[in-house]
Amino acid sequence: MSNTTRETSNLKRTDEELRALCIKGDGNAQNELYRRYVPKLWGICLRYAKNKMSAEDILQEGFIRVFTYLDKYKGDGSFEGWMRRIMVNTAINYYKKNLKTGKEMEYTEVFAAKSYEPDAISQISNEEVLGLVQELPKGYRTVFNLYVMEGYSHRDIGEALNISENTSKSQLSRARGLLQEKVNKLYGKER
Amino acid sequence: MKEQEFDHIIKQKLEAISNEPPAYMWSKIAAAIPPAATTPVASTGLSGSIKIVLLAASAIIIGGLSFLLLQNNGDVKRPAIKNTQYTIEKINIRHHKNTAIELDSEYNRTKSIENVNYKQSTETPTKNTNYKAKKQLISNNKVIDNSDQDFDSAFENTSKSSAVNPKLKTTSPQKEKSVKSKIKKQPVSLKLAVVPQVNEEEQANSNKASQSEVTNQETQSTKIIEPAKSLTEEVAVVEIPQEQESPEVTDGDNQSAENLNQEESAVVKENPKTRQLNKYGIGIHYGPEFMDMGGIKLTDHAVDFSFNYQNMNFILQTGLGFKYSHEKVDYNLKYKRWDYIETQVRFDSAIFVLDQNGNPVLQPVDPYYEDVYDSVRHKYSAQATEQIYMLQIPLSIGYQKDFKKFAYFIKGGIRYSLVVYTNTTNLFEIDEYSRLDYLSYPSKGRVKSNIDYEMSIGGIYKMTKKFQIHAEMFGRYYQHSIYTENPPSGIHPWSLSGRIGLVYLLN
Repeated sequence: MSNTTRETSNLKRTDEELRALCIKGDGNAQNELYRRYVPKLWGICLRYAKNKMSAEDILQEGFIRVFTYLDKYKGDGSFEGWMRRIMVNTAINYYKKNLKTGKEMEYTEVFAAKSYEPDAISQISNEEVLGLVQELPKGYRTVFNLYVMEGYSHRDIGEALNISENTSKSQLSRARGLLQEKVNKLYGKER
Repeated sequence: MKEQEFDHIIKQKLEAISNEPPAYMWSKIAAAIPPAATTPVASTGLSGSIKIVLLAASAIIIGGLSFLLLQNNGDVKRPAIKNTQYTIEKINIRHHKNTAIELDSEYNRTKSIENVNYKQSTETPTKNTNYKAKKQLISNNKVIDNSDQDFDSAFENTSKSSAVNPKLKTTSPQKEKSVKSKIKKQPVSLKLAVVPQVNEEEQANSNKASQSEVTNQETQSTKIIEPAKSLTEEVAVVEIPQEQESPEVTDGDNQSAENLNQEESAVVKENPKTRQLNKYGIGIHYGPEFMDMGGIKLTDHAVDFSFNYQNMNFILQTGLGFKYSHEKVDYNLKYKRWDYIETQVRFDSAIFVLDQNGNPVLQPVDPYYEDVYDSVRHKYSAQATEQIYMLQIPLSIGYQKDFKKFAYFIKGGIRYSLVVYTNTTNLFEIDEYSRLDYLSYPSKGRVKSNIDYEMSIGGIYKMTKKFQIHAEMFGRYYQHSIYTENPPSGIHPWSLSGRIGLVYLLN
């Protein structure tokens, strides 16, 4: 009975309580915090990573940062949002680490705007969409995630990835084109 | 379908994904969490080569220090004193009337004369001594009254007995000038602890360490013998002439002269000014260096660990330094990449159908889509940062003028530099879909080693006896160009630099 009560009270721990315990180095609290937020953060890692192994690397590094800098969280915004930003920044760093280019790239070709097929993308599953995103080249994938999922502007993306706004726009356009193409191909197969 | 709608659908689908990472992830994370999770782990970011260099530098510094310290220890020689062990406990300066007997309780009124050169003649209270003045002030377990009056009276008796003792050799300023000393106008009180070699009878009478205290008075020469707490004291005699800035103390007795020399050597060993003739120090310094070579200007940063040696006005400095240099290099890159162009609709057969106006329109049968890729030419122009890490060994000598709290110096020497590690950051990276066509990367190429000649002037602020702040400005002229090729290899660079650091004196 007492165990049940304790477990119940543990479940009711607020983020602030958990954070305080984690700062003190409480392993159980760290585990609880991890279990509470890992489903959402894992999705972020998967989107930015090329494969599951890379996603695990990002997740691990991101959580280490979270636990290391817990005392730096000042309560501005939600705690989940703070952790999410850390995870996204970790993913960006991971991208930079594995793509040292980071400089202006002039593309000589211009991609024409394409029309997108609404039926096709609605037909495929969520996991399939994730797979398609993961198949994107890492530059495209990162720009697409930052723009579409995180709501970054092209200027923010340029600053984060050390590329120009035009490059960001170009890569986003390419990412969309590739995604659409892959969706159409997949949809065509299913149909 | 607009782009925004497409993005929205993708976002919804991606956000709807809810799964969890493998179960082993938590164990990996938990194992990697730093013990003090709230304390950021500082990373030096040093590469393996730099770590090796730092380790080597540490080993050299530690080895050098050990060598110096061992040499220092080897020079220390204790004076050989026959039959008597002397320990100079304290040297005091104070006023006193006629006599100079002082008590331990009065030490708080005394002043250390560490900075005063002094000489004294002392006669050993052994069987062979010609000084037989013995004084028994107290018996066993009797506590000495600390009042000046009692001691004055007690000492008068002692002085009289000593004065009439023909064997007592006293010193006088009129006698042979064997020892010189400079004494400030403040009266001097010298306290000596004397542990004589006593016979068994004396040992039976006295189990405590002998202690004598000798005091000079300002107005006349005195002979002072002060047993502090012992039963029987062998005493020392010190005579300091009255009102003399540099009194000359003479001891005509050979035995006393021998003892005097022994004492003198002991004193010289302890003399702070003599001890400071050879100074050794270690320091750490930092300084930027602004280099000019035919219009090419570089700013480097150097840190060095120094060994400092000083003998009077001569100074020598060497050590081990590390210099970091960096410069931007432009490069151009052209490459072809197998890129996606568009998706085309393909079909094997088609039929004509009539539209609403009755015009024939080609209608594909079983169309399929196909990606079209092509080789796209890219141009890439950017800057890379070339980082150069150097090991440096300087050696310089110079002249230094010391004041109480400050000093200035001028020195010149050479410095040997060796490039130990180079790195280029922000350089291009092309993927497996690309083929490099052209790369223009004008790396200048640094010479592996170089020598520069340096002159410097600087100042020293002596914070404490052990710690000093050094600041100096250098002018340097390099023997070789720093580049092996390209621009301008024939020009000798010169540089101006500053340097500031902290030096710890080892002695």
